[in-house]
Amino acid sequence: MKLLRGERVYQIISYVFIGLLSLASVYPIFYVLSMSLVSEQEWIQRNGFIFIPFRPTLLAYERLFSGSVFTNALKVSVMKTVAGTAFTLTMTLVAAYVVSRKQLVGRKLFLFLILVTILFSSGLIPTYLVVKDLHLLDTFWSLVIPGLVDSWSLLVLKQFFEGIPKEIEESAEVDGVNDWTMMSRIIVPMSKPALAAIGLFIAVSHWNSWFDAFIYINNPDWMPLQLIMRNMFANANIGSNFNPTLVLNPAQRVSTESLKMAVAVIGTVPILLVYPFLQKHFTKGMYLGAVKG
Amino acid sequence: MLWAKIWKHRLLYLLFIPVIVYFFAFRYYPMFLQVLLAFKQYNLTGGIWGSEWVGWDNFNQLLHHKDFQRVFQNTVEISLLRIVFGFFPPIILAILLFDLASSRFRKISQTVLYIPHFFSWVIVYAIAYAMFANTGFLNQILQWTTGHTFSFLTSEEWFRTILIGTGVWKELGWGTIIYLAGLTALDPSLYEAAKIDGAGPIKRIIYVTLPGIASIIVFLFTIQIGSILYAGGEQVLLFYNPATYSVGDIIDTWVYRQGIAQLQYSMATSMSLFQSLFGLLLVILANKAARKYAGTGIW
Repeated sequence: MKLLRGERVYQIISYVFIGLLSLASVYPIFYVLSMSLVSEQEWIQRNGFIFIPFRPTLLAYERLFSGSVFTNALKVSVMKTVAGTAFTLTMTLVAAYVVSRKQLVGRKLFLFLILVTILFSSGLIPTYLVVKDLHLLDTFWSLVIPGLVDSWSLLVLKQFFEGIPKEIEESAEVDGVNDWTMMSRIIVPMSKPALAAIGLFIAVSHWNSWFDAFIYINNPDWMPLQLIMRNMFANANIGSNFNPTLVLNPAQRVSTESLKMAVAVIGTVPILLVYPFLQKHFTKGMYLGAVKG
Repeated sequence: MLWAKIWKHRLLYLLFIPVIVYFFAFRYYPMFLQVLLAFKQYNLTGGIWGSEWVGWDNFNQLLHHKDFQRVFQNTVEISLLRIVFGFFPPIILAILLFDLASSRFRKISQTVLYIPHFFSWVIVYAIAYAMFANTGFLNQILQWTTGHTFSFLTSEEWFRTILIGTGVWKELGWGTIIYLAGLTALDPSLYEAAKIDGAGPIKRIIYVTLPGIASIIVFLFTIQIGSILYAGGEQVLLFYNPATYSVGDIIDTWVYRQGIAQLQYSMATSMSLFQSLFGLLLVILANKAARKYAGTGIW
């Protein structure tokens, strides 16, 4: 069928507009990547304008991995992401399961307690003081414990559990299955896709977070990658420590700008790696959450 | 009978204990402390319990603080700019995406457009730095065409443009998801009917598409209005610097600096309390207005 003129114009405009927007969404990342792949020599010669590196080099990455500051931050980030996701997912799963049991006495009260925390923030300073009074400042656990239950994920999971057909649970109950078996053998295995999706979202937000470390951590040993990166941008001196002073040949040196960009690239890679899995899940999960509000 | 019911599910209650402990320790207790702190003069030696009650003094001081007006105004202005430039574009983009004739092109561009949402604000700052710093992309082009550069990241005039621009860049694509979900639920026969009636794309959007997602728009808009005093502290904290405090300092960043950096716990907390109570009031009012004029609300 031939499209009408107005319809054709509309389609063309949409293609061009969406195409340009898509380009704008990814191009800056390629620019960041290009900037990270040059030596100080090339940086100076080309005045920092690096569309495509002429002599690409991994020097910036070698420098980063040769020092302990960066590798340690990477280690903290990985630990925080793994431990934080494991604990938060477990706690959130348990909480969601309990509030999804319709017959449970006190369920409404539990649900109310959770909803209140979504409506009212607990405030930056009081939360900080609690973390401080529990002697968690400057410890690894300050990056994990304050976010132990994620209320939004909890509600999405609860919604999912409630959507599991009643017949399955009823027939299990007839067989005399107890709560533990019901949860671990029936509900959880049936919710694997939802749990995977929620787990990925929690993992991404753990990997991405910097503000918790920014306020709770002063000891460089416990600073995650995102905070180190933030500090490199906020404080020009940090980047300069990465060049060994004895290397004077600019072809063997790397500019602080390239170092910063290399850190940004490393911070992005894990996100891009899990993105295909995220994408597979989030449309379903988000639609579910969106419709139910 | 009740006991028997509870005892039967004792395992579930047992499992819920850590959750309750967490909620009380990290959500409810701080909420309670917030009120205490706002009406006490916190002293570092005595802690919260050893501090003196001062009534409304903190709020009085806050309202007369030299920063108050600036911070309040910046917060509202930045939020409004975020609404104008961040709220409506996803609606338009969602409609364009939905109407695309090629579903292949739609899928590919959706995949690409959602990516920035998953980047941390630090990465977004890194990207902004690559684009706008003195050695960045834009300045290289300026240098090449005009012969001089401009320091965008420390400029008062450019601060908000960059802040809101990068914010929109991050969330524009992701913001379309909820509208696309609403659009796929629309009855396709309405579209066909509009076509048969000879309605062009613009008429179709006005009479079929927009009414179909109107309730989602109202719902999200109400939430936006309710959170007007939350202008994105995490992003501002990364993007601003002393040169741009005058246009960038908002409630969240002020609370951070007063509280965590300068240990003015009581003052900072009274600002937070003001922020959350004012926010609650706004949500209620916005919901009332939405119910009255649009027929739907959040509750």
